[in-house]
Amino acid sequence: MTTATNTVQANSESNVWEGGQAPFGVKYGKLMMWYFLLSDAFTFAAFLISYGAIRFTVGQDIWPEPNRVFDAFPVLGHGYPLLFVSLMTFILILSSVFMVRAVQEGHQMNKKGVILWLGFTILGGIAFLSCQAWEWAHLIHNGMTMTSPITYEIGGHGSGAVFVGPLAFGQLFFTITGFHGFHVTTGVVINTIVFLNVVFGTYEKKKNYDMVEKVGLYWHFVDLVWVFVFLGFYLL
Amino acid sequence: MSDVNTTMEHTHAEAGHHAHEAHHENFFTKYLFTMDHKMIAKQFLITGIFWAIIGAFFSVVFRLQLGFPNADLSWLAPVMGRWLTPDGTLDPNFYNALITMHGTLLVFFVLTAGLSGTFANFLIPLQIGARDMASPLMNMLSYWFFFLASVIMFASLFIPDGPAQGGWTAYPPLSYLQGQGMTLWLLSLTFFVASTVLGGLNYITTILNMRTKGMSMFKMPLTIWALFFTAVIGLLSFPVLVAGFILLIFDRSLGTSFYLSDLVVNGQFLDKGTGSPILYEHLFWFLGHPEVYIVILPAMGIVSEVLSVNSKKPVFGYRAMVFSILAITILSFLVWAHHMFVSGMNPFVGSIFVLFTLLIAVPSAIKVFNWIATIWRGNIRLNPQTMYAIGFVSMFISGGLTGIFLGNSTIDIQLHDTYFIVAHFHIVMGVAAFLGMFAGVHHWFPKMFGRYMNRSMAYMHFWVTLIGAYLIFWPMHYMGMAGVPRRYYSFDAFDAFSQFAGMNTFISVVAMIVFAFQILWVANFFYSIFRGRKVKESNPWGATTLEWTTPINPGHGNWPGDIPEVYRWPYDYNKNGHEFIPQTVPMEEGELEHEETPAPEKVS
Amino acid sequence: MILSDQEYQMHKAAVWRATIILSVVTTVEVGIALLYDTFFHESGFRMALAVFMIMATLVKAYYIVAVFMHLKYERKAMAITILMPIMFLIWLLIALLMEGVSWHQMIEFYG
Repeated sequence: MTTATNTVQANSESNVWEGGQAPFGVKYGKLMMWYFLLSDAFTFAAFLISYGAIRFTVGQDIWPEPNRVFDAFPVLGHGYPLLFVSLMTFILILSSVFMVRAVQEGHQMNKKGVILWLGFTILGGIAFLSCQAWEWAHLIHNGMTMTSPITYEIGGHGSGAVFVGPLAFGQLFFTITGFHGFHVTTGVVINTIVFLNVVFGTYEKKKNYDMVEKVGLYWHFVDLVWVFVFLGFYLL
Repeated sequence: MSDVNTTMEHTHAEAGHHAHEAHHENFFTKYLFTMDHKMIAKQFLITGIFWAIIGAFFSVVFRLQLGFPNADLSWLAPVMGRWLTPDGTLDPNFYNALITMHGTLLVFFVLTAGLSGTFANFLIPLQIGARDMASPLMNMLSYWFFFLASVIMFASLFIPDGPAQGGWTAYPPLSYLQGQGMTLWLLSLTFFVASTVLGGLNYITTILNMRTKGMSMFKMPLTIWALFFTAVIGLLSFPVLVAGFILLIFDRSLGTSFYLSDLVVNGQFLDKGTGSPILYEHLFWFLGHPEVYIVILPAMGIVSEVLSVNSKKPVFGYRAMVFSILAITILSFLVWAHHMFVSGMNPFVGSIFVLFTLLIAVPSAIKVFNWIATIWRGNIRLNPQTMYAIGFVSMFISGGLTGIFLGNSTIDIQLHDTYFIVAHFHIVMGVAAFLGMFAGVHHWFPKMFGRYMNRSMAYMHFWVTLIGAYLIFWPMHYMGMAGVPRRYYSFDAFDAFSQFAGMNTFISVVAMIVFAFQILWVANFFYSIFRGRKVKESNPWGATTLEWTTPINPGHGNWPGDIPEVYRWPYDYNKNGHEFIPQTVPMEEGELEHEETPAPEKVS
Repeated sequence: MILSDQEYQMHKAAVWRATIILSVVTTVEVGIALLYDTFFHESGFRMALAVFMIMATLVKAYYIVAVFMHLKYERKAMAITILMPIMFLIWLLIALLMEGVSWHQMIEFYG
C-alpha cells in the first residue's frame, strides 16, 4: 500500500491538487469516515472537558478516589483496585489489534483471514460491553446512580467510616462511559453487518475490502476515546 | 491507491450514463426522493422559504405587542388561537414562545439549512465540475433529516404547552423548567445537527476529491471556498452543541445536575449540588458563535461572485479573500465566550476572549475593502443581484462596526441583552445574510429553473428591504444604549422607557411594511418559477464559472457530454479585450495568469 | 493494493510492536495509579503524576492514531487536515478548566 501511494506521489507530487484526482490518494468514503470521526471527537471532547470543568468546580478534596470506587472484581469481590478496568482496557486494545489484522488481510484480499480476525474483533467488543454492564450493575447496586451520590468506606471494606462523594461523579461517569458504550454497541452492530457481508462474499465480488477499513477506523476511534475516558475517570 | 483516480472516472462515467437515462423518473423519484443535488438544493430552498415566512410572521406578531402594547389582537384569533388571552391581547408566555421560535427558525432552519444547504448543494458540483455530490444518498438523507427536524419543530407549535419558550439559546435553568415544547425543540435540533453533519461531510469530501481536471484549489470560485469553510465550521462546532444538548436532556429528564446548582425556583429549593449554568453557555456558544459564520460565509461567497460578474472585474485580492475566510474560520472557534461577559464567567478568561474577538475585525475589514475595490471603476450592471450584493456590503459594514463595541467586555456590561445587541446581530447576520441569499437566488435562478425572476418587483423589494431594515434597526441602537432590555413583553412598568413608546410604534409599522414586501418577493419567486421570462442563452450574465457551461436545464449528471476541463482561474474579466473568458478556454500562447500580470499603470 | 510478502510482514510487525507499547504503557499507568493513596498524599506529587498520566495517554493516543488508524502512512496533507482542528479543543480545555477553578472559588467565597 505504501509503495502504491509512493508511486502516485512520485508521479504527481506537485499536481495532486490540480483537480481530476483525489489529492490525498484516498477515496471519498474513507475521507468522510475520517472527518466524521473528527467531528465525533469534538462531541467526546466536549463531554470530557465538561467533566474537567465540573471536577475543578467540586474540588479535589471531595472528589472520590478511583482506587476506592473501582476496586471490585467479579467473583473475587472487593479489594482489587483498577484490576477489572485494566482487563477491560486490554480487551478493547486487543479487539482493536484484531481489527488492524482484519484490515491488513483485507488488503491482501484474504477472505478467510478477514473472517477470522473480524470475528475476534466482534467477540472482543461484546466482551467489553459485558464487562461494562457488570461494572455499571455493580456500581448501581452499591448506590451510585444519576441522582444519588457515590459512597464508599474510607479505610477499605469493613472499616466503617463512610465517604460520600459529589452527585456529579456518578452523573458524569454514567453519561460519558454510557456515550462511549453506545459507540461500542453501534460499532459491534456495524462490524457484524460487515462481517456478514464478508462471509457472503460481497466485498470479494467488489474486489476491495474498503468497507472493512472504514469500520476499522471507527473501531479504533472507539478505542482511542476509551484511552481518554480511562485517563479521566480511573487514572487522575 | 492509484486505482482511486480510475474509480472516480468510473463513477463520473456512470453518472453521465444515468444522465441519458433520466427520462424514466416518476414524480416521486424526481421531486421528492431525489438524489440529484440540484433538486435537493431546491428542496432546501423551498423549505427554507416556508420557515422564513413563519418566522417573520412571528416577528410581526411580537412587534405588534411591542409597538401597540396590549392592543386587541382578536382579529388574529383564527391564526393565533390559544396564544391570545380571552380579552384579545397576546399571552405573555406565548410572547416568549414567539421570540424563541423566531430566533430558532431563522438562525437554524432558514439561514443555515436554507442558505448554505441550498447553495452548497446547488453550486458545489456545478462549479467544481462534478456530476453530483460524492455521496448522493447521504445528500438525500441530509435533506430528509432536515425535513424530520422541520416536522418536529412544526408539530411543537401545536401542543398544549406551546413551543419552547426559553429563547433560541435555551439557557438553563429557564429551559430546565419548560414543558414538552422544549423537549421537542431539543429533539428537532438534534436531527437538524445530524442533517448538517451529513451535508457537511459531503460538501468537504466533494470539494476535495471531485474537482474536475485543472480545477486546482486556487482556481475555485470564492463561493466554493466560502461553502467549504462553512462546512468545516459546521462539522466541528455542531457536535459540541449535541454534547451540550445531551447533558441538558439528562438534566430535564433524568434528574441530573450538570447545569443546575442549589437554587430556589418558585420558592422551592432544588438540592442539585455543584452544576453550573455557565457550562451550558460555554458549550452552546462554542457552536453559537461559529454558527453566525455558518450564516454569513455563504453570503460572503455569493456576494464576491455576484459583484465580480456584474462589475466585469476580477475579484480584488482573491488570495486575500481566501485567507480571510480561513482566518475567520479559525478565529470563530476562539471567541465564543464574548457572548457571556456578564454571565459570571472568569473575567480574566473574558479578557482573552476580548483580544481574539477584536482580531476578527481584521479579516472582515479585508473582505469589505476587497468588495469595494472589486466594483471600483468596474463596468457595473445594476441588476437586482448586484443591488442585493451592494446592500449586503452596506449592512455588513454597519453591523460589523457595532460588533467592535460589543466585543469589549467593559462596554458590553452596559449593552448586553439590550436592543443594541438586537440591532447589531440583526443587521450583520440577519439582514446581511438575507440580502446575500436574495443575491444568490436572483443570480442562479436562471440555472435553477430556466427562467428569470421579475426585475421590477425585485427592485421594489430591494429598496423597501434595505431602507426598511435601517429604519427598523437604527433606532434600536439608541434604545439599547439607553438600556432598554430585549425579550421583554412590555415596558409598561418602566417609566424611564416610556419615551421610546413612539419609537417602538414606528419600528413596528416599518417592520410590517417590510414583511409585506418579503411576501412580494416570495410571490415573485413562485410566479417566476412558472411564469417568468424564459432563459434563451446558457450564460445570461456573462460569467466565467463552470455552471454556465451546462445546458439551460441540466439533467441529473449536469453535463450531457464529458465534464469540461478547466484552464484558468474563475475571474478572468476584462482581459485581453474580452469582457469575460470562461474557465474552460485554454490559456493562449504567452498569456499570463492573473497573478503574474503586472499591475496596471496608474491613471493620473 | 496487495503488498509484497516482505512488506506485509513488516506491517504486521509494526502492529504487534504498537500493541506491546500500548500494553506496557497501560500497565505502568495502572501501577502508578495504585500508589496514589498509599504514598502520594501531597498535591504537588499528585500534580506531577497527573502530568505523567496525561503524557502517557498521549503516547498511547499517538500509537492508536498513527499505527492502528494508519495515519502515519497517509499523505501528510491529510494528516494535517485531521489534526489541526484539534487545536480548537485545546483552547476549549484551557478556558473551561480556568472556568472550573473560578466557579470553585465563587462557591467557596459565597458559600
